[in-house]
Amino acid sequence: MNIIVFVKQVPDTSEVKIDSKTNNLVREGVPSIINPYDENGMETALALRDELGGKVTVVSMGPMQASSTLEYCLKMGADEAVLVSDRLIGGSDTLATGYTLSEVAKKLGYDLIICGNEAIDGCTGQVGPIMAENLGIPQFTYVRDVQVEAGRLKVQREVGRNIEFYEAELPALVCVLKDINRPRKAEKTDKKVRLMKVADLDLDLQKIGNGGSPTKVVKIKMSDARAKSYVTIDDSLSAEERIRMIINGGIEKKEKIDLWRGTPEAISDRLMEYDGFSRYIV
Amino acid sequence: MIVVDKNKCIGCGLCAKACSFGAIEMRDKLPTVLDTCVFCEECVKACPVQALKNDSVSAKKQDFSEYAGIWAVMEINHERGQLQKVSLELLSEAKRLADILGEQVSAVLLCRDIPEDFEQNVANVGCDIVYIVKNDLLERYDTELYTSAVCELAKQYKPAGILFPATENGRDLAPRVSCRLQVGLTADCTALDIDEQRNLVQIRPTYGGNIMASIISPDHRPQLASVRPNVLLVNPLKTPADTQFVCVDMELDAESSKAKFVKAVEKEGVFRDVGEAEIVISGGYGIGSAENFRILQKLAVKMDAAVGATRKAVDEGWAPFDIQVGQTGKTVAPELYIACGISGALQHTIGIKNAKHIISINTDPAAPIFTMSDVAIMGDAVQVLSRLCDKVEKYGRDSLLTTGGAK
Repeated sequence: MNIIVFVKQVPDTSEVKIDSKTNNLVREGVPSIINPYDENGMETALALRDELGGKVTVVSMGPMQASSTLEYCLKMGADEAVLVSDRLIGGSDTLATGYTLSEVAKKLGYDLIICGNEAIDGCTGQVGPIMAENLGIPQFTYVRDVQVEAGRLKVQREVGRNIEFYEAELPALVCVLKDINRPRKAEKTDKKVRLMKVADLDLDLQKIGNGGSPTKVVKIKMSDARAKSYVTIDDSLSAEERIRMIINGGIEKKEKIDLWRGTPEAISDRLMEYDGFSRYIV
Repeated sequence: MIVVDKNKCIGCGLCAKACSFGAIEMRDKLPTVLDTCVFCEECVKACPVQALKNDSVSAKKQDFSEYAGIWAVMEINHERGQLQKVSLELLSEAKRLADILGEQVSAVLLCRDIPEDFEQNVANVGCDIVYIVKNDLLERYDTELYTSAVCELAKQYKPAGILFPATENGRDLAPRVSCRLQVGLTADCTALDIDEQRNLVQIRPTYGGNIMASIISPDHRPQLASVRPNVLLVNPLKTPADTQFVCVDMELDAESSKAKFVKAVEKEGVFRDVGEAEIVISGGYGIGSAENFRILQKLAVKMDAAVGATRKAVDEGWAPFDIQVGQTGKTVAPELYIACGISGALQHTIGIKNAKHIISINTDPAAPIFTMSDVAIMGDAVQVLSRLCDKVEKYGRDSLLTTGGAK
């Protein structure tokens, strides 16, 4: 069975910082990692291959530095790795990316395509379904279990409070959740990443890159979710705490903030009497 | 790509300063555009000597005059035969946008049975038209059949914009529709607007919530966007609209769906749906262990609350992913949100913006979560919670005794 896993290299968004002077993203020192969901996608593919035989090819689209993510996948046990990198595909939105990658899949051949359910930087979860539509194959998103029995795909989707069981003939595409498995550790390998350019594919140039992307980013604004208000440094705090607050830059006072301090016993007593809490006790 | 005219460039570096993504580096006094560029053209606007331009060829301007109106795709809980609340949130927003455009607002209902109180519900938020495709094959969500139905309707009635619920099934459907119609789609918008050119402006957080991006699809119609439950508010009208119902006959081919539904079972486990609860008690990295998370669950049971978790707590394996709150999780809008051992990373706080009342417990007085809390408690969350648990239990027993005594 030929399995293609699509992976994305993402900045570790929990480490993304904003330059307070320029208000821009600081990229230096932010580690690049494999999108966590994609790592589970890799594990899903490797486990199926180990059980049923066949080949796992891992593919990523992005700048040349994404090669390190593919090397990591080779170390996990992928048989082949392909990096699609070209200035012509820079600025692709999900429609253009899904189109480009579906052409890569056609070129490589596949029985099953596995993606992570979404990437932690963009969080759209759109590229998988767009590929499936381009390829005319069924898709399953929010997948928590994948089995292949006698050439037939069996998946479980997690939808709200329900687990839905589906079956389909191959080829098909699945987008997996993080809960699906625990990825194996990377080991040594001497396998190399293969580079693919736009010229290596049969692409309609009108449908790729920024020009082939219907959506355009028109405005960028730093999020104000955090900037509304800050705790004031009040003199009831210890010197150490005050110094910490100064270092953290919290200096503006939120009008109604109510900072409670005390022993857990005293605080829990106070909460029981606080209307905002006690009225919810059933 | 963004290209630099070396003859015009004066090496001032304003373009690099203007770039929110750090995608321009000055090398030998010349800007170098990196692969991280998103083509927002802020640099082009910032250049004082017009040395930068975007040379990407975009689709030709087309005449979109026949595309009108904003649609909202309805989501039904098929087991219960009820309209999901997110449907009315979307419809209410579609109404607001359609009003700005001076156009009509429509609901798209794909179903076997029309959900309870449907007419009244949609009329209350001002819906002008409901397009109904009623078919036994639409009894439950199916990627292929639902995609076909939405695309057929869109081709026939030509809306300017379609809003999808960013639920599991909505996020399965919307990209498939966007690809079949070859139009743009923006996922998980937190706000929508109409610009001067009558484009739908889709605003969404990106990069872990650090950046808000405004996105448009100027050269394609319809414009597609998805919005999560609990992000928009339902705005009932004083006078319900006079809604027109259009039943659309559509041939649907059961064979076209290659996915065979087998069965659905309710998930095992103790955690209830965090998106629907009135009270949410969430735990973060400060909770410390899976063991300690049980204290949250214990309290939640006593208060009829749901337990939530931050990404870090889920990554640690202390809580399952389906109760994760934040950008890569669920958005919640409870009456009361209790944040325990949560520092308040943007990734998380984006998901609780609509919570009415926030109580947070953290050992760090500078935790950002405190700044958005009504009550900020400095202390160890686990210790406070375990005492609280006993007290809430005792309170429950006492009130039971009182009621018993009154009889």
